[in-house]
Amino acid sequence: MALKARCEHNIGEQVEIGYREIGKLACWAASAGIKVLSIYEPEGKLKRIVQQLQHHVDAEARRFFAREGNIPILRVSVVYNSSSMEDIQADLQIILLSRSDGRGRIVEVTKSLASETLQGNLQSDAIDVERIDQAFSDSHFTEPQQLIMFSPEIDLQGFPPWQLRLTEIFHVAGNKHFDYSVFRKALIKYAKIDKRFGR
Amino acid sequence: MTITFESHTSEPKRPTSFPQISLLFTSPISYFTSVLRYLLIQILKQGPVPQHVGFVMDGNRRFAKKINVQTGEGHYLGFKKLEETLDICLQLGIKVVTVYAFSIENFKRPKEEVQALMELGKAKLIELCEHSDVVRKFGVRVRVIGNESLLSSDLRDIINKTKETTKDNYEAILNICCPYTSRDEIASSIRGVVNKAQQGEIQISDITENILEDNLYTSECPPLEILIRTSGEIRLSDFLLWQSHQNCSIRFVDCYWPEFSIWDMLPIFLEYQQNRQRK
Repeated sequence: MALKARCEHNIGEQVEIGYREIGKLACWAASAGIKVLSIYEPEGKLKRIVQQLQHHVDAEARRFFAREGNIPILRVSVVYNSSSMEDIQADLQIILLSRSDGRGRIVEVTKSLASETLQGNLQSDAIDVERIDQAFSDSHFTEPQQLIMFSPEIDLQGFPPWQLRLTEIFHVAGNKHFDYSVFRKALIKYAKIDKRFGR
Repeated sequence: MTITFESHTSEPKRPTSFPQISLLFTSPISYFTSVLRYLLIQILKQGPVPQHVGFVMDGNRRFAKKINVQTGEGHYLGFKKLEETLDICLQLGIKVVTVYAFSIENFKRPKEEVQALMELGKAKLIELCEHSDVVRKFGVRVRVIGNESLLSSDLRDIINKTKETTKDNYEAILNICCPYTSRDEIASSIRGVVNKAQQGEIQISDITENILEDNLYTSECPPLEILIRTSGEIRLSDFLLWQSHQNCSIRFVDCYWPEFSIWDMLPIFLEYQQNRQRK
């Protein structure tokens, strides 16, 4: 089940975001068979240190998967960069998100649709949910199936709204820590939800 | 519950009347429940109260199944619960209540069920604006928001009539989302903004978050502060995505909508008050 899952991880403000946590999280996700892991940090601090993060994730993966024959490829990137072949081959995509990927991105989409309309390439009536969704499709970041909160309350802090449509939002009331048990509970809950849908 | 009409000369009115003593003799249990509810509301009112609260009224069908009644009966109980919840919210002093009544996706349900829901919706809208004590007592403007073009013309007429009858009510707003999805709302906002750019009212460089927000159905409403979903589901299901993804507390409650009560609301509002006082 989790093989197809794209898992979202949302770091609440209470959590000190460190290289180490992200490295661990990436390894947990990879070993659970998750394909895309998006990490949201409102201010965009993580997006400024992509290279360092990649370095730490690689180091953590070498430790974590030391006893395995092969170490999975974990690729860190920001949302909107042109994809390369390398990205497609990665076992796990780690996408770094910030506030500007939310409403800011919707503003960008509106602007580009407006200029297409002004150039006469698009009728404004043709701007519907599908057309807008298409405009978002140039990134790896699509609708996540699950969002894990490591914070005690559900405050989305500006997480991209368009992509939140059907996302399962998981949190443990009272939890203030970054913890493997939260991640594990979330995956179990997700698996149960999917089963019920099948009925 | 008995309603007393207050004269409109006194200052703005959020009438909450103490339950009438006569109820004590006819139905003692409901008398004491009413007294308790009245007291709880009085206590909560002492602290800060959110301006705008949203509800995903989920679980009517599952509740019907649970108590072994027809699906339609479940929806009917759901509407009753809406009126009761609205009453509590308005007594607390909440200005805007937005509810998810019907999703555009719900058109995929069996035809008979959609038909029955629409009929119930019509009847309830008429009831809300003509006979509802809650709407009258609190001066509620009833708005139906969503993609009207997907509704039948007679339902659209009733919606317009509802808007017309309650348009002078300024104390509070009830937004009934039908048929609605948040993505459809955002799309309609984007379309509106693009149209303005096309007509030269604005430049493309003027397009901002605020302009998009001003073109949402909720543009006249204060920001959403609490979003409550019943039935234990932990998704937003395309409801108020833009409005709830920041500065809003999202609460998933593990009971079906017809079972939702003031006891489920109490911890949510108390926590809201605690958080506000901490800030």
